[in-house]
Amino acid sequence: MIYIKQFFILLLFVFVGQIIGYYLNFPSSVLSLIIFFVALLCGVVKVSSVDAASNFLVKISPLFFIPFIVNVIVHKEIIMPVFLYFIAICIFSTVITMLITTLVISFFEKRI
Amino acid sequence: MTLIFNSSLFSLLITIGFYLFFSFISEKLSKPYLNPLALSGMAIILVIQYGKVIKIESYMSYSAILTFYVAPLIVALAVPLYHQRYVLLQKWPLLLIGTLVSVTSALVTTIIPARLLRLDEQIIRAMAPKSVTTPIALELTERLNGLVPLAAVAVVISGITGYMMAPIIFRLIRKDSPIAQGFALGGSSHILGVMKSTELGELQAACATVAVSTVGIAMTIILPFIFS
Repeated sequence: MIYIKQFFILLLFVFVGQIIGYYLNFPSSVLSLIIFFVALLCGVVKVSSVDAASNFLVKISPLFFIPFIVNVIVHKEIIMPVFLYFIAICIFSTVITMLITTLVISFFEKRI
Repeated sequence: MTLIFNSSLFSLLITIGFYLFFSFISEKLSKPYLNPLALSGMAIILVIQYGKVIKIESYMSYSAILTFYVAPLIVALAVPLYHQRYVLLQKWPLLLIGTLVSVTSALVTTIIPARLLRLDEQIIRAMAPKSVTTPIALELTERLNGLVPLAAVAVVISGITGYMMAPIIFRLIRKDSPIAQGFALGGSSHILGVMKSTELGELQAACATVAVSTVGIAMTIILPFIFS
């Protein structure tokens, strides 16, 4: 029962986010995340009444994305010719982003 | 027979089955870059392409049971962020700078090379949010009309790259600030970055966790302006 109750609270916030997101034209689940975080901070929702279901969802989350990866084959005609470029840019961008972020934060850490 | 294979049951069986198998291997060898998500995806692609028992269209519609959980999962990300709220409140100026730098450099280093190589616009839109956590990246790509499945691949590549390259990068530039390391990991390689950060220390892990959420939110706000 505890999982059902906790899951219900999560779904409720998804729903609230969808309604508000519809009017603000903002991605609804990120909006739900922000609203939910504020609700936790204000004590509207106690973390103990959602953490079991949340941790469970986060732990098994890769399972939910497998279908998205598989769906790549539908677009293989567009992707195959540029797949090497695609991988190269992803790797390049991640390395540079990590490098710059580390340097900039280290720089400001000594000055703030 | 085709009815048995083209079903929710069979779709779930191969998805969960491969995921269990590759998670087991990745844990046994303790090599998280043998990403169970990527490997399971590839294995199922092979089953669909060469097994000829289930069509991609039916696999996709039957696995909607799984993809439904993406939205509640994003909401659930507030819980780890809440647990690290003191880091967020104490270090917020630094984390704000980190978020902006991380999002900006991820976008610049993706979009400019991709445009120079004349990649398809739909592909560029799938790559742009690659440094954020998978559920948010998928939602953003969908809103931008990018190729959603490719976004999932881009996110996995970023995660694995960050996980493997972080120790080399940190050694190369000789920066050992836990806040900088943690935030850079979470901000560029999302959950896999968090996994690496837990190996480095508690403050690193806290900052990486915060970065996953803040970079995800910042990317959500900034991205529409770039592609409008």
